[in-house]
Formats: sequence, C-alpha cells, structure tokens
Amino acid sequence: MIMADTPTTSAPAPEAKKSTEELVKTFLALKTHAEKCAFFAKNKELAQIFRSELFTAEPTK
Amino acid sequence: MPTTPISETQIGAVAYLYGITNDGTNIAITGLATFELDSDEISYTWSEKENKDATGNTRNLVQTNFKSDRTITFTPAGADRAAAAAIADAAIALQNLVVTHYKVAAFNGTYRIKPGTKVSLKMDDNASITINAEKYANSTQNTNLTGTPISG
Repeated sequence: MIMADTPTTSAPAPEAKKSTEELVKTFLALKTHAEKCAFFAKNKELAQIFRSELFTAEPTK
Repeated sequence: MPTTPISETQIGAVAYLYGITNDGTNIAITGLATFELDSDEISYTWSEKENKDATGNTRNLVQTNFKSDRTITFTPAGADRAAAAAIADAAIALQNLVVTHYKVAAFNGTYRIKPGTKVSLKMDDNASITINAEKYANSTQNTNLTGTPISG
C-alpha cells in the first residue's frame, strides 16, 4: 500500500522502541474510551504518541 | 499491511528523485498502522532578527529556532472499512509524528504536530488527512518539545 523503490543501504535508526509499538497496538485495539483512558494512565510513554487531553478520564465529582 | 512495492523505471543520462521513496523497508508512522501517502513536504526555516545601524540598514542578522516545517497528506487505509476509519481517529489523536524509513533522511525522526490536523471526508472520493508538524534541528531542543507533557 505504501510506495517504495529499490532497497538501498541508507537505514535511519528507528526512534520508536519496539515496546512502544506494542503498547500503541494494544492501546488502539481497546474498544471503549474508558478502557483507553485507563490504559493511557498506566502507560505514560503513550503520552509521547497520543494527545493527553483526549485520553484523560473526567474527574469523579 | 503494505503490499509489494512496485518501483518505477528510469532510462536516461540522469536519475531523478521520483515519488515518495523508502529505504528498503516500508515507511512507518507510529500509531498509524496503514495508510497511503499522497504528498509530503518539508520546508527548512528559522526565526531571523535584523539589527540595523543608525542609517536604518541591516548590519547584523541573528538567526534562531532552526527547524523543518512539514505538511504530510495521506489516505487512511486498512484491511476493512472499520480499520480505515480507525486510522482517521488515530491521526486526530496523535501528539507527535514518529516517522521511519524514508529514503530522504530529513523526513525521518520525531516531529511535533502543530495545530490544525485535518481529516477530510468526501462523498465521492477517498478520505484524506493532512498533518502539519515541525522538527527542530537541535536534537536536545526537539527532544524536549516532543516529550511527555508536563503534569501538575
């Protein structure tokens, strides 16, 4: 699906760690917003990838 | 879910940089599982202060905040419609654009997403997403500005 051409020797160092990739995959697979908020709160590194204000649970009144 | 890339053929005395090319591995953006790139532009820029002499003529320039401004446009795609829609939702929620495997290395790295991420739905065409982002040339500065938001 993504355009590419013949392989070359230039290989930039990936900045995203594999563990972060796994976290992102798990996070995106969650079905409900509440689940996402809870997972986001437990895994602080996700805040470097996704916006905190969207996944911060509303404070209980 | 990238498919096998099909490379173009070029014949002639010179070769041109054609299309959005990778380094042999498919281009990846953290948080976006699948997409089809449409266009991607980088503009290298900086702030500039002109210091003038008594006659009003510039005699000194102070340049700061060197950075690459970027505009990337792509089509969300997936194994099914739900997956493609999920890509659009994920794009809106991105804090940073972490990009790997462009052949032009300047496009790789962690870019801070600027305001104005746009998802365009169209009645008779594929959706498109446009993200504006920036990467500071100073790596420490860029790391600080793409880190976890300050809490408390």
